[in-house]
Amino acid sequence: MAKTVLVVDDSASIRQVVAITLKGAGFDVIEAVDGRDALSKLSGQRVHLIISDVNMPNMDGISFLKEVKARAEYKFTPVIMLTTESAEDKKMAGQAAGAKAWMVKPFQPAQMLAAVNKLVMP
Amino acid sequence: MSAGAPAVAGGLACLSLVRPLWLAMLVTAVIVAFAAAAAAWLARRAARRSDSSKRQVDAQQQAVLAAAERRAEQWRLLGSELMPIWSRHIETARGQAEAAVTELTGQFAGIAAQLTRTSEMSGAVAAQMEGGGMGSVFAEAEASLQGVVRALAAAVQDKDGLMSQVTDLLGFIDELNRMARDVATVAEQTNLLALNAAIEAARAGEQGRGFSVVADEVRQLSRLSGETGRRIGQKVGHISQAISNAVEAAQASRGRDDEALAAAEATIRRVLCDFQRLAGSLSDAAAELGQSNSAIHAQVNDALVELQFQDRTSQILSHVRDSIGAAAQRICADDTADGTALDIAALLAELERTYAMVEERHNHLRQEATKGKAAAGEVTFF
Repeated sequence: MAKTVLVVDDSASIRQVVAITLKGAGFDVIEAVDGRDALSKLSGQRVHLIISDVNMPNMDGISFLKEVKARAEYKFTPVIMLTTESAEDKKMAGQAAGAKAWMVKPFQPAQMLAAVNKLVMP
Repeated sequence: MSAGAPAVAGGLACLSLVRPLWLAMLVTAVIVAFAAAAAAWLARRAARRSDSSKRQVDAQQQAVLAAAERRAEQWRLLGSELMPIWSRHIETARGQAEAAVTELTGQFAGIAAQLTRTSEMSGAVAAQMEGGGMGSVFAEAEASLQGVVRALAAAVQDKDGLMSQVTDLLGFIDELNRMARDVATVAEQTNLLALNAAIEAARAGEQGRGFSVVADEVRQLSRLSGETGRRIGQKVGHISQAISNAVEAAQASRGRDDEALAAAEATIRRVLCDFQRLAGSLSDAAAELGQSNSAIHAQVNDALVELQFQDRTSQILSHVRDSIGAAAQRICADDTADGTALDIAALLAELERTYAMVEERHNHLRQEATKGKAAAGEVTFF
C-alpha cells in the first residue's frame, strides 16, 4: 500500500516539484496551500510524513507544526521543514517545535527522496 | 535720541552762564525743534524700514508655506498614487512569473515522468538482451532450426534405406526369371511327355482312346503352363525395369538431397548470424537510448531545481511589495505638519522582520547587492 505525504507550501511550483518527485517514487500526495488549509485536510486523514514550508500566509509553518504535534494522532508523524530560510535561530525553532529535518530550497529531487525514505516508517 | 539728551542739557547750562536768558531760550527752542524734527525723521525712517522688513518676512514665510504645501501634496500623491502603483506592478510581475514558472514546472515534470517510463522500458529491453534473455531465445531458435535439419537428414537416410531395400529386390528378379524359365522348361517337357503318351495311345487303338484324351489335356495344360511361364518372365522383366528406373532416379535425387541439406544448413547458419548481429545492434541501441535518457533526465532535474528559484524571487518581491504598501499607508495617514508620523526606522525594522533569506539580510545591511544563487539542497536532520 502506498504511503501518503502531506505537502504544505503557498508556492504552486514548489508543490508541483515535490508532488512529481514523490509520486514518481510511488507515494500518494496531498497538497495544501498554507497551515490552515493543511489542518483542514489533515482531519481524519492518515499521513506517513509531512513536508511544510515555513513562511506562508494565514498560518506559518512553525505554528502549523505546533498544532500538528499537539494532536495525538500526528504526534509521531515525521515533519520535514522545506524553506528558503537558513538562519540558525529559525532552524532551532523548527527543531523545538518537533521537526525531524530542515531542508533549504531549492532542493534536488534525489535529496528530497533520500530524506523522505529515511524518515518514513518502513 | 537718548544719547544726545545729556549733551543738549550741558550746552544749555553753559549758555545760561554767559548769555542772556532769551538767547538761551531761543537756542534751546531751536535745538529742541531740531531735535524733534530729527527724531520725527528718524522715527519715520525706522517705521518705513520696519514695514519693508515685515513685508519681506511675510513674503518669505508665504513662499516657505507654499513650498511646504507643495511638498506635502507631492508626498501625499507619492503615498496615495505612485507607491500603490509600484506595489501593483511588483505584484503583477510576481504573479505572472509564478504562473509561468508553475506552468513550466508542470511541463518539465511531465517530461521527467515520460523519460522515467522510457528509461524503464529501454532498461528492461537492454537487461533482457544482456542478461541472457536474447541468448536463450537465440539458443532456442538455433536448436529448433537444427532439429529441422536433423529431420531432413533423417528423411534422406530413410529414403536411402528404402532404396537399399528396393535394390535388394533386383536380386529376387533373377530368381524369378529362373523360376519362369523352369516353368517353361517343365511345360515343354510335359508337352513332349504328353505327345509321347498320345502316340502310345494311338498305338493302343480302342483301349488307348481314354488315355489319348488325358494326353491331349496334359498337352493343353503344358501349353498353358508354358505361356504362363513366358508371361511371368515378361512381368518380371517389367518389374525389374521399373525397379531399375526407380533406383536410378533415387540415386540421381540423392545428390540433390545432399545439396538441399547442405543449403538448408548454410541458410540456417546465415539467418542465425543475421539474427545475432541484429540482436547485438538492438542491444547497443537500447543501451545508448538508456544513456541518452539518463542524461536528459539529469538535465530536466537540474531545470526543476532552477525553477525553484522563482519561490525565492517571489518572496523577495512580496516583502518589497508589502513594505511599499506599509510606507504608502503611513504617508497617507500622516497628518502632521512635519511628517513625524512617518517613522522610517520602524518601517526598516518591519521590513527586516519579514526576511527569510540570507541575500535579503545581506542587502539590508547595505552590502553590495547579492547577485549569485543560493546553494541548493542543504539538509539538516534533527
